[in-house]
Amino acid sequence: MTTIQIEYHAPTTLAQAVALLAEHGAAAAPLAGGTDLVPALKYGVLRARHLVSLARIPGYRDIATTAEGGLAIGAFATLADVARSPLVREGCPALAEAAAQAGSPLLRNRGTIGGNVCLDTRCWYYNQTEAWRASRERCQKASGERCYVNPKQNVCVALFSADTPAALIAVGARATLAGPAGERTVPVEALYSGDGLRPLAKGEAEILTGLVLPAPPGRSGAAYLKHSARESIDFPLLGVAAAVVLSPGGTIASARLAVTGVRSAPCRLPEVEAALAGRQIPAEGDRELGRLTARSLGALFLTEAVPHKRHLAGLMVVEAVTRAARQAQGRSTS
Amino acid sequence: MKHLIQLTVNGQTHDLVTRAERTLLDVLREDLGLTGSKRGCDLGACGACAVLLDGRPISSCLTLAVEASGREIVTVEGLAQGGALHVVQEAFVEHGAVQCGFCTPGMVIAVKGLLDERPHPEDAEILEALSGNLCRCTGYVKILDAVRTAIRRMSGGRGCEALAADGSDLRPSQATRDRSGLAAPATTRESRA
Amino acid sequence: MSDYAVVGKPLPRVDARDKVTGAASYSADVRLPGMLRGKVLRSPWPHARILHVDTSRAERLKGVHAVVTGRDTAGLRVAFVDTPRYPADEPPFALDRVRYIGDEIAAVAAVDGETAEEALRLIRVDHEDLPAVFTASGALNPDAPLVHEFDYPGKTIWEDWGARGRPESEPVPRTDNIAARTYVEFGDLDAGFGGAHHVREDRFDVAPVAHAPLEPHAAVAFWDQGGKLNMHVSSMGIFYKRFVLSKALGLPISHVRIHKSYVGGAFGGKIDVFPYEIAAALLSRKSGRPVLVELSREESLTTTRMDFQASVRVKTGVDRNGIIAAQDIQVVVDTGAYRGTGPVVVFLCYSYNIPVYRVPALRYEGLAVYTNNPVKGPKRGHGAPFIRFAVDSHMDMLAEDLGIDMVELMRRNARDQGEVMPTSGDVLRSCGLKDSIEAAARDGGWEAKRRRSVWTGSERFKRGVGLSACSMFSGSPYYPFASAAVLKLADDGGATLFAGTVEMGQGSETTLSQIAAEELGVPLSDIRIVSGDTELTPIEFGSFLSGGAFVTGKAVRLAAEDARRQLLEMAARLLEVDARDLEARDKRVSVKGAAHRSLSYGEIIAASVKQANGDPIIGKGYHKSVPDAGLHPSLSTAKGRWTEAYGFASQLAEVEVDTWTGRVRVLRVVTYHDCGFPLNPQIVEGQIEGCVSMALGQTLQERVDLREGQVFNPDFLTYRMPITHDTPAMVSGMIHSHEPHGPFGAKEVGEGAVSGVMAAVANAVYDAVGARITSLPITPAKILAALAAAGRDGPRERE
Ligand SMILES: Cc1cc2nc3c(=O)[nH]c(=O)nc-3n(C[C@H](O)[C@H](O)[C@H](O)COP(=O)(O)OP(=O)(O)OC[C@H]3O[C@@H](n4cnc5c(N)ncnc54)[C@H](O)[C@@H]3O)c2cc1C
Ligand code: SF4
Ligand code: FES
Ligand code: FES
Repeated sequence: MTTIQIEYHAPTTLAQAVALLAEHGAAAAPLAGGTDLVPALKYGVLRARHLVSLARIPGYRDIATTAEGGLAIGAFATLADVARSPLVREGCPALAEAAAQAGSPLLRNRGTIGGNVCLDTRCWYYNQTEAWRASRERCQKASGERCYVNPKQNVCVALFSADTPAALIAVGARATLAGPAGERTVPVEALYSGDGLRPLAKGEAEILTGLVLPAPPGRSGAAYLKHSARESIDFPLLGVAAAVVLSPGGTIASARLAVTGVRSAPCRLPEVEAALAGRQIPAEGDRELGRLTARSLGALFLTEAVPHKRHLAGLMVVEAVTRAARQAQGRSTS
Repeated sequence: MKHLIQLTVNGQTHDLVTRAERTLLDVLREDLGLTGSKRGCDLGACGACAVLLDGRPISSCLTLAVEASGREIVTVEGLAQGGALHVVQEAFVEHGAVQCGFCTPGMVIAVKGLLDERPHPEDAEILEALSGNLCRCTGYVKILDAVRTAIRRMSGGRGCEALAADGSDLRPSQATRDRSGLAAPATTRESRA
Repeated sequence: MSDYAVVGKPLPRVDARDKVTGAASYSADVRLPGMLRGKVLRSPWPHARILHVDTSRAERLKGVHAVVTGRDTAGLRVAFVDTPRYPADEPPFALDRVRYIGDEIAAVAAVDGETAEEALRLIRVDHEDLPAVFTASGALNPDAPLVHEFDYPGKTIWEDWGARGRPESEPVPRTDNIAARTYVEFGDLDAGFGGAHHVREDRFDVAPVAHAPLEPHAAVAFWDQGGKLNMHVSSMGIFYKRFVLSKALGLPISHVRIHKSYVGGAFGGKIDVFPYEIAAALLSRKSGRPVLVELSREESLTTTRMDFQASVRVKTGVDRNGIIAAQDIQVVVDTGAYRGTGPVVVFLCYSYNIPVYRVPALRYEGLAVYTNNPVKGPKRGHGAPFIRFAVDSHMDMLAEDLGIDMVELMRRNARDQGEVMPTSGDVLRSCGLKDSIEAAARDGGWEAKRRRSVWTGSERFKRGVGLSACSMFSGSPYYPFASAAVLKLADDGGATLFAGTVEMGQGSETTLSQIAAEELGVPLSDIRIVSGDTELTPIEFGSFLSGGAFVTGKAVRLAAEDARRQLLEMAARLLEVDARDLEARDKRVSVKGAAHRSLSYGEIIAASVKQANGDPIIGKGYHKSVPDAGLHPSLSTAKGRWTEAYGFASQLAEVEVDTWTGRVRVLRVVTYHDCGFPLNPQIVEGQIEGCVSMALGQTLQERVDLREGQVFNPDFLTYRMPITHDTPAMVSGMIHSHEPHGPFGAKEVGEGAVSGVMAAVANAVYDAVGARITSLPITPAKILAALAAAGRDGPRERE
């Protein structure tokens, strides 16, 4: 239950929605499926007082192939739509896998891919009720001064844990944003600031309207792996996406890796990517690659089992790369 | 801010005034007196509040009532027709898939949502479709059995009518069947004592 | 097998229809005209002195109808245990101190929940932080802050029942944080250990877990004109609640009525009378309106009891053949800010352990320690899960030391029918323990599946099996001690059963109706049941202490027997034969061997009304738990009769361990439960399956994440209960040991099958990969660490 009072707006065109967001600035937020905003409202951590519903805006829900052979996904499509779409399952199984594993079936029927991409960061001290948080001073993310997780630097390190962005980043997807100044597209990666307090780098009045996936290059494949304590109703402890392109000789020509659940933004692993280029497809349980991955993660917060998480990252990167490579092999032969 | 909304619940249309912060679950339970949908966690994590929204099962505790305005809602109260239980409900009763019953409304709705969309799901799909609904009592075994029976029945199969009248033969719900096929089946036995 | 017509059959539950249609009403579903919503203000501090509580602004808020604080309950202390040694220690609302995060300070009733919450925010509480202590070992430290500075012996609520009276006394200063201690010693320990062939000692730790029933706790209260309190509550025994509520509120017991509500799961967590219930009653009295207090999931999880955090030390001496010569066990539990059931659990860890293996010499010490953590209470098994986890893990280790097969070791030490329990004097009149061990081992493929030999193999996934056994009792002397039942025949020969049971998922409405139908000789559909209402039904034992089926079932059987006897006597008069020559079947009474001379029940009832001065035939039955026992056994010495019958279960788990990620997948759990006789096999199976699922949750993933007294995972996203995907194959068999004192030979079901799972899984993990995990939950991180320590890990990156 909440005592926050909100103003609800239900625009019927995108332009109206953008105008409403622009009018209310930081006090407004787009409302898509609400599966993240409504908990925030109940917890009393919702900053927005104006919710601009996207539900009554027609369009932006379709999933189609682009002229270039890629995929265009409307941001208001539900995760269930994305997971089930034959086009996505065929064209980008990594994304279908990521969407199919987010939350639970009930949440995927409401939650949108746009909301997933624009998901707020999470923290033990923040995603709690007002009564719970009353046990201590407010933390920075709740407009206070302190950080309980990272007191030394006193910098918010709330975790970004959405599933689909890792897959989108790995395959080089671009996001289409509609704002007061019109439309622009940016790489999905560029949507994130890396700041735990305000994880999105886009303008306040900008609405994510679509995601465009490039046509997969020849001999390429991509996979997403999620590790969570429970197989459903659980954010990823770690999510790893890998997209690889094979050389004609069957070695790895290039690889893109993106992980979720380790920092305040989904992030690439450039060192590991570089190490993969020109290599053979790794064998199951490749120790060297695992070690490199573990090292490249940097400081880890918000988990008790840090060694465990590093170790998992190593295993998962190897497995994701292997799976992606196998997919690439399958594609090049068929 | 208050809003005038129109909810179609189980075929009946209601015009209501509600504040924007309230959820569909709040309105169903408090304003419409439809207390069949349960509040188990109020956070989208248990499924006890599941209803069909335009045919798809969702958590009503995370859906603002204003967002459901103008849309079709089916709650557990809307499943039985003219006093006759829905096939899924019937299967739940027969299999003992109901214990405390608090998860049951959401479970039944989730199953209905699944079968409306995919009448012949594989076992793995059933597990997945119900993986957003927690049950603390049954360990899910009999719920899964009930779903299998409902599927058989809906596709014209006989389900578990093969029950001997005195219930003495093996029931499909009997946990003494080995579900993974790893070992010889066991039977209830008399103690030597 | 049996030739019964109704009992022993897997008949569909009588409450299922209401539950699948959404018609079943739980406390939070009650809607009354003018009903207000109550909310509770709780302490955000783990330990603080309360200097002043100012509610004036809250009272002035529009829509607020009543506020209660510690001033309204001054002097009152309530507790599950309230004895001269352990006087009640929990004030419903804080007076001068709060002792844990969640401790109640005030409550408000307002027109709606939002207004009530707004009002809570307007209450000002001046406080001063006090030093707090968050671990049992810390609290046992001589200079630890005292969680309670005084004990308050005074009146006990048991005086009406002849409890040893206490002189009115001043508060007694406390000097330590020991909330309760049980000590038992028998046999010659020194000789036992001294002469042992082998001795080993191990320590086990168990994280606290939550009951987490799907229904959060709720209560509705409203008052009659005549000053009678009416309530709907989330309970496990309405007569116990009524008793404690009447004592707490100073009302005559007849001035409290609990109305029927279904209960959405309890597992031990809904026994106590909680402050929010007292709040509902007081707010309703003050406001003159009905009040509903519905706890949030967070409140339900953190402030209505959780299972104990425990550490167990076990030392055993065995002879060459593995026969136990002596055992030394110490259990230390963190009981939280109030005693809860700390005194009971340290007694039960002894009492649930002792029926399993024969121990000629034993020293047992159980300590319950106060801390500034949330309060602990009974959860399914109440101590049995952790004592059995410890002892059977330890036995598995002994088996390995000795080179004796675990099944053989268990069999050699397992108790038999007829044995007498030390200290309590309880007799195992029925005991299917050995049978259950053998059955579980056989059906679990014990011989074929043990595969220690491949520990060093390089394959990633390794499988193993493990075994454990446990025992459970069937009702014990505790208020209300007894159950009664009334069976009222209807004109058509059907009947209405009046029984005070609370249907909380265990199937009691169905099982009891089956007993009545069987005894009366009518089909189940002819029995209607009225339950869960203290006014409409006679007293009932309650569905805790595992006594529901046993004690109440017996009362119901007697009531039906009584009705049947009356039917036969009337029929004898009408047919002019001796009642002994009559038989009743299918709602007809006929003369044996002359079936044409018969009367329908309807005819007999009509005749009875006409000829016996209006007697409509009403049967009555009652039964007391452990009829030959006193008020209750001594919790501190474990002396005194405890129960009439013990149930047993043996459980085998087969697991697959991913040696790379440390993840354990449970493939199969085989349970053989000696429940005497399954009154409804479908319900018994359902109980076993639920037990296994809950136990697997505790074994592998559930843990209340307490940090400095605060629960970091108070919701269903982060408190991770098992989901569909976690369901293993389950084989649930029953051993029919036919308890001579049970209704149709039945005894406990519903609690026992929870307690063997933990050790079975831990032993299976060891069997699979050679890593011994001695603390629950068995997480991937622990397994990886153990594998690394043993040098048996897969490709692994170390920090
Ligand atoms: C119990 C539970 C478990 C969950 N588990 C997972 C999980 O495993 N993995 C996972 O990824 N997520 C999980 N979630 C979070 C959430 O359900 C999903 O991320 C979902 O996709 C969010 O989408 P939505 O449409 O509901 O977002 P909303 O709640 O509507 O919005 C989320 C955020 O995005 C912004 N936003 C939404 N749409 C747009 C847009 N088009 N343009 C700009 N900004 C926008 C909103 O303003 C808000 O800040 C879980 C949530 C719950 C309650
Ligand atoms: S990381 Fe620190 S500042 Fe950020 S939400 Fe957590 S406690 Fe608050
Ligand atoms: S109450 Fe809505 S999902 Fe739990
Ligand atoms: S039947 Fe009780 S939670 Fe499912």
